[in-house]
Amino acid sequence: MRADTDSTDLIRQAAAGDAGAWRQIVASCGPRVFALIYRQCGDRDLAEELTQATFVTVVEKFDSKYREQGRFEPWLFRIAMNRLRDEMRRRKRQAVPINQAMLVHVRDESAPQVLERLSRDEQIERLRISVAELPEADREVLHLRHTAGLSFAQIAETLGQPLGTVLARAHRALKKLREKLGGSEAGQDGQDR
Amino acid sequence: MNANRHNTDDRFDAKLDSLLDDALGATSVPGGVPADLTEKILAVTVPKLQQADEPRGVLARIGHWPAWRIAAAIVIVSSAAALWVVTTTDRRSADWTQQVNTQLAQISASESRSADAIDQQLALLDADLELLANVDDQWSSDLASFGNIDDPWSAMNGTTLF
Repeated sequence: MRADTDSTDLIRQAAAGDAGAWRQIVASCGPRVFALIYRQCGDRDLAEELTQATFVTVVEKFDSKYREQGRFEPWLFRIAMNRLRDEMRRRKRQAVPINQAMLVHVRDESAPQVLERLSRDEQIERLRISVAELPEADREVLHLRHTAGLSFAQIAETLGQPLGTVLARAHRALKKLREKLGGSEAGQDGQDR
Repeated sequence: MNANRHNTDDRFDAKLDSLLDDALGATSVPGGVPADLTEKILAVTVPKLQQADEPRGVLARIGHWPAWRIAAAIVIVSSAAALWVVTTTDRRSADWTQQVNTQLAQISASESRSADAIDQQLALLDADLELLANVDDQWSSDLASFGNIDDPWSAMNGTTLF
């Protein structure tokens, strides 16, 4: 699905100034960093700017800071998240989830078995909106998992939290989504049929 | 019933997980990922990457934090100053030795002057002692003559002692 950017050799080559190795890393991680930031802040230009800033920081810190062999991606995404938080703090506003305007409209349509009734595209759109309604901490875990493509262990490293905490947050987020989308009721209904 | 509910929840979670991959995946962001994103990142990072590969300055090698670099700069400047002082002192050592020799000569001259002065003083003292001895002789002879008289009281010309 994606290049293994945690390859120690690739990282070492890039850190030694190998532009080819660095290109592979950027091509593999750049879109995910961009998507992660964009989904968190909802601002395309800001996401692009922060993505570039993240990679500049990585290059600047390759020698002095990067000691985590085999843990490049948690380090990279930690820098990205910190960049985003700093920017949000600077702007003194919360990250605005995308499609916020649609929330009111769709919320009115919430009902049990929503997913069962919708096409896959509609399900996906409905899900995005439900994710945007989650608290920031829960949303963050889902984005790191499904947008950045990190494992739970890597998410724990990225956020600097115990693995148990991250798993609990993910579980809580899925539970809230299930409640929003009427999963239990849908399943129950399907089971009874 | 409860077990059935857990099973359906698990099935739903699996479906949800798959849907989340599609809904939140990097390639599915609204408007898509900018086509030139990679090139833009490379344009700003590759020069820095190659710069980082070049041998870095002494301070840059010491550490990333400015505090470390400032401390290192202070140490380096202090060491350089100390080295300069040592070198400069060494260069002037010939003059310094000459000064010391001059001072030693002056000290020894002053010491010899003092000895002469002491000799002179001793001579004066000797003269004083001689004078004193003469006075003492006179005094002894007076006492002796005083002892030879038969009537000391009359010899004193009626002088009363008390």
